[in-house]
Amino acid sequence: MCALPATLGRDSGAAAVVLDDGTVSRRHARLEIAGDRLVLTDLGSSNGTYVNDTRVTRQVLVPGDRMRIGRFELTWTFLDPEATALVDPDQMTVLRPVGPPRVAARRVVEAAEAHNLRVGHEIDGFLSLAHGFLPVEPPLQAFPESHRAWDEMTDRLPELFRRLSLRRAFDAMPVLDARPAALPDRYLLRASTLLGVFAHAYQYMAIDPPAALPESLLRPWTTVSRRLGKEIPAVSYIDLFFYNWRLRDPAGPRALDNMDLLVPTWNNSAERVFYLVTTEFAMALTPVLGAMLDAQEAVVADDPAALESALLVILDRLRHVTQAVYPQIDPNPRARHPLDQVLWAKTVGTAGVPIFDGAPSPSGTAQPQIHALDAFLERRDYGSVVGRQSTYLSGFFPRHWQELVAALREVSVRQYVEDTRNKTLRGIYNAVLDAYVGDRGWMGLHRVKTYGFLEVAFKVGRQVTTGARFTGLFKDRTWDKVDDQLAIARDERRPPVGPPVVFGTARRGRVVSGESGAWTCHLELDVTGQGVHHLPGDRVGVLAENDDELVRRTVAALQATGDELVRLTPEWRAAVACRAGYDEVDVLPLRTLLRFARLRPIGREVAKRLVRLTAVGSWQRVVDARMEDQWELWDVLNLLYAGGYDVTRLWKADPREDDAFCAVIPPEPFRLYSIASAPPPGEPATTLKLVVAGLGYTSAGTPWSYPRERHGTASHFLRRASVEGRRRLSLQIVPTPRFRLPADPARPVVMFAAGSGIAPFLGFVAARTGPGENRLYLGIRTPEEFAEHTDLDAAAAAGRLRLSVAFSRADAAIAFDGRRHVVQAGQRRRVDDVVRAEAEALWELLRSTDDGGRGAYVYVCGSARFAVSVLQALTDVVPGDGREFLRRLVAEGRLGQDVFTTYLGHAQQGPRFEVSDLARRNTADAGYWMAIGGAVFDVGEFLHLHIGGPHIIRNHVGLDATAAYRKVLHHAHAEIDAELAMYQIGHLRRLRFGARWGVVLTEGGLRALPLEELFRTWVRFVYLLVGMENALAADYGFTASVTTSGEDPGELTPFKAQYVLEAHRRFLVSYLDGLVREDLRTLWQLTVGFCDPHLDIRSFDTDLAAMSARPDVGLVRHSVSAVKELLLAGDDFRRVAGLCRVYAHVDVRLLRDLKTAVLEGIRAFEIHEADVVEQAGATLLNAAREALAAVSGYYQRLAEQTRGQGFTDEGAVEETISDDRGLPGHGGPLPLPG
Amino acid sequence: MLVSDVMTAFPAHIRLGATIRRAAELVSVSEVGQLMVLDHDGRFVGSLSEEDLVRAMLPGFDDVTAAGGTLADAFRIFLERGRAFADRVIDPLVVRDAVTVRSADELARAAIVMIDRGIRRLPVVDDGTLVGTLSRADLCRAVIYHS
Repeated sequence: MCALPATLGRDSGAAAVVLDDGTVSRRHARLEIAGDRLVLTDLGSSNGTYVNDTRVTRQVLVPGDRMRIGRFELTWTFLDPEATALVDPDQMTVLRPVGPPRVAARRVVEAAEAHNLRVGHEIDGFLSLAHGFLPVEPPLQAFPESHRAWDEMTDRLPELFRRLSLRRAFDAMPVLDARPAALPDRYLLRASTLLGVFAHAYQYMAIDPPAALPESLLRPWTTVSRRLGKEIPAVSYIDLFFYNWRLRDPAGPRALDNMDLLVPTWNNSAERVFYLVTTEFAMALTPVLGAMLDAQEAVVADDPAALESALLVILDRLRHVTQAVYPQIDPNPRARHPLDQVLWAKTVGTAGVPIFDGAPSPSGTAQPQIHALDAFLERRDYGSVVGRQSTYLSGFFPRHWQELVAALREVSVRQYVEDTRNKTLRGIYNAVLDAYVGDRGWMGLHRVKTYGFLEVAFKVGRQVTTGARFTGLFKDRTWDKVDDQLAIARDERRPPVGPPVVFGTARRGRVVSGESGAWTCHLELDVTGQGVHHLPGDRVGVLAENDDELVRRTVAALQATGDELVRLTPEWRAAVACRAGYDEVDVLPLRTLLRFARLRPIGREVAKRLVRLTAVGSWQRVVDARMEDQWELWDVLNLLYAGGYDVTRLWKADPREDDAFCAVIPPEPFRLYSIASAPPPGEPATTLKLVVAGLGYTSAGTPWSYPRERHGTASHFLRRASVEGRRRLSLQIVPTPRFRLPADPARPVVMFAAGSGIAPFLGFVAARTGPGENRLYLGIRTPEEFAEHTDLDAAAAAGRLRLSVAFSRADAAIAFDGRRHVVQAGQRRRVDDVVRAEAEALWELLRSTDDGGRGAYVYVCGSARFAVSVLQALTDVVPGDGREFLRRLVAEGRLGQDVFTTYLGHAQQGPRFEVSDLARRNTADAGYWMAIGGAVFDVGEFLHLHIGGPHIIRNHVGLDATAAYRKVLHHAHAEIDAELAMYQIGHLRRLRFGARWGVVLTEGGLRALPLEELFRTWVRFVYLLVGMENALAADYGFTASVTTSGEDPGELTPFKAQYVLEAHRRFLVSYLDGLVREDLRTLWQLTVGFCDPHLDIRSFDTDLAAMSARPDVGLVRHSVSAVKELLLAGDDFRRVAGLCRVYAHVDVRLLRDLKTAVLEGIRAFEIHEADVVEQAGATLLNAAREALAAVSGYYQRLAEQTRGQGFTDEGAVEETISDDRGLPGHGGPLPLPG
Repeated sequence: MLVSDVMTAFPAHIRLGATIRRAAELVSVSEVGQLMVLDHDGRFVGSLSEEDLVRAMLPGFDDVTAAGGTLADAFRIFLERGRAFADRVIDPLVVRDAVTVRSADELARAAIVMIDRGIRRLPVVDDGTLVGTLSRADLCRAVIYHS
């Protein structure tokens, strides 16, 4: 930067701007302001001064002019400190050498483009700026005449699969020559894709692998693979995703709606959606390649503005693919592109597992975009299982890709961003990282989505991922292991650039108070110059601080002065690093620590931790009554001190100890608020507006709590910030991809808000400047609470908005007088009343466009109770099945919900339910319930709305789903967690067993066991049964889906029949054996100990052995392989189909019988509680006996049916299960021939 | 305050080679949970706890199944084993690497090791000779009750 006038030249003594170049004169030219113009004057230089390549002597400059002096090109910018903070003055470099620097990665791309053009094919790797890692020329759709036999096979695979006759067809196919003379290079990629897909179809058509691949496949596939540089024939990522598509309309876009598979195997919906979305995903990332090159060149040229725009392209694309492309893989059956996870698991999911030992797989880690981004973002660590696999697979990349990945590592964008200390760049760089690896970014979304898919898949028999092997039994929860690996790999990508935090400065806000004392604060946060790019509807997380009074009380309760130094745990260090001015701190004074700690209300986890640490009875009783949320930390500390606990331990203990403050009390999390403003499209936000409702209540006066005024931490913090102004706040932008305005600006938008729920809609109205109609229904209590919003007035005046306000506690209404909204007389009512009153008009708006309606997008923002009431009213508006209409609305992405928790003191807990109530609710007839964190939810309707699809919900109905819920971080995402309240119907009752105990005899010897532990054993057992029922329903439910294109879903095809046999076999081995020999046996042993000291503990083993020795059992277990042989032989399908129906029926019935028996026992616990042994010991023992009897009855029934179909036990043996790589029966990999 | 100020000077003790019956008798008469054990030369070797005496009588899973397999059988064997064990020597049950203190040690030193290691009664040993024991009760009496 320089002040004007300025002389430019080679002489450092004479020129203000020194140009180090021999062709530049010592005093070459001058820049000055004349009038209000910028003028460039040549000072008689030897080699001249150029503007836009024309030599000039004196020239007025206008924006966009390019000046050249010697080899330097000169750009210029006026800096107006009032208008922008985008350009950090330290970063201004006015002069740079002519011609952009070309980074290594650019040279690789250019060389690749030139090479591919010259040789006329792309077998050395697709690589171009126009199409990224995808082919420039769309995949070829036919071979020359000589290879017609391959072309002809492509359309027949689904039918061959359906009839299990695929292997015979390929055995009969001629062996074609794939050597260069017969098959030119140009066709290699098509040959590779086709032959790879054929070979895998051959391998995986039947559950049992073939002895070898037929010559007709093996020979040409080996030849083609070798010609492509692959030693071992294997399906690559290119084969399956980058070269396995064709455009329906060749002139149309490369997008899902315009694509088909080049070689479909089943051609079912799962295959199409899964493969083609993956392809589109890569297509949508194409601009990232160019942007990465631009970014690196901007770094070399020291051009922050160019770097900023390049990073913004990457950010925009990453957000687009994760928020718009990826979600097209939609497990919702009503969605536009539904993908059933069970169908996926049994067909597509494992189709890519390599056939030959040691072959590379087409797993997600083989995506070149990931390797390019990892290189660009400088991932260093590849030590995890997934990381090692990733490195291994990249070794198989075509040449151009390998070179690119290596070249991208040559320039460090991160180092540049760090060195320049430019806040805008740092903000955007962090946002890019977050969009890539954050919880809500690509890798985070991938992890959650994968978890859902794998959990469903593993429960229906898949035990292998395309990348690695993970094997285990039903209860081993193998999918958790896969997930843990993904989490580790994601952490490896996170470089040390600090958390994605934005610092905002509070401006003075205004506070609107109602007569009840309730208040709402409207405040603005200044985030200028930090590269905050967000969309309307997004939320901002705010890190609140506790007020001085609360901190003072807590310090006193801790019996400290507040100056004590406390060492931080890693979790705390990470949290504190998000605070302005606390980058890397390991120690904080106690007082500061308390300002940042979550001191109120006490959460369940913290409450239980304090019970464990202190053993103070009075606190234990509070926690048992679930009343801990009526307490604040200082209250509790006083109670604990009175109970004899040394509260100073908390700040004296080492941070590694259980009772250290940092180990007990979590840091204050980011509290989410909807952003009530919208930046102009494509521009960074300078201001974030918030609408904050004050939270204040009086805790309940009960035997476990006492009445006291309580405040919400975050709302009061923000109010203080708005009053004081100028306070620096730590913020985090949280994208809400499910709460987005329609892409089409002409679509109508209907918004429902309660109280401060108006916030996101203020942003929406600001952003909706197009022709579409906007309606906003707002529910508040009284006219005093109605805040004027000039934006709303302006939108109404322009005819863009219709605002309707329902006052629930005042007879008033709002009217628009042409200029502003004014309060006038009216009727008190609620928003749902208004909805019903305007039913017809709303229906007209909501009805789908296909149905003649206007296809409006609907948004609800408010408390859970408000959301429920509005949705209920909307279902009433619909003629016919209103619920179904709402389900479709969600599936079409036309219903956005932004539900928040409004804590209003301890809610009435509602009804108490028993475990035996819950365990029954896992069928369509009985309804679907689940328990999370002790609360009970009716998810019968929600399962149709769940973003992860109905299978995941059905897997967890009738049992305690807390672990699964937390595993996918739903509890940590407030926007998800808050929605739970919409479905809560009560709590699980906690049984009281006092201190009862008994003696049990186990293999570990004699032990004293609390009665409560015996009950838990029973509950675990019934949950295991329910989980198996759920999994089995999904497994056999497969028979009702369309597995190959063109089939009648009701028909039991031979292909489906083999999966029924497989499911049945797995039921016998993986479910039943473990259930009876381990879990039921343990249940029996423990129960006997409590209930009958005169019963021989071995009687269960004796009975079980006697049962297993019966011929019935032998027949049932040995006949499955005979049935399978009959199926593959293909002669008597009727008999096979008959038995398949029997299997599905009796397996389901056995689990039901077992559950009925066990629930008898559970009921006894629920009725008698502490006295269960004395009052109902016999019932418990009997229930356990009945369970074994149910298994015995099962074998008897099934044996009769098997005999009835003409199968005998002669010569049959039970198939052993090889410790293979996954799908039981899929055997080991084939050895590579010769 | 030193250990010697508050210790119990004439502790209940037993010699290696004594029977389990003798040990049980001493435990019941002296009402201490831990007997100090001396070798044939009268030197301290370790301690014997009543807990280990009881544990030795508890039957394992295989013992119970061999004798009928019910809990009632387990309870019966427990008694039978007591009778059978009575005439055996205590030697295998003696804990030999016991923590000890010296009579001249600071009392607090003893208190710390007792709480940290969950020891109820500490042998006080000077140059290999048992001179007393220090129990938690001794500590409470000296430090709280008499203060």
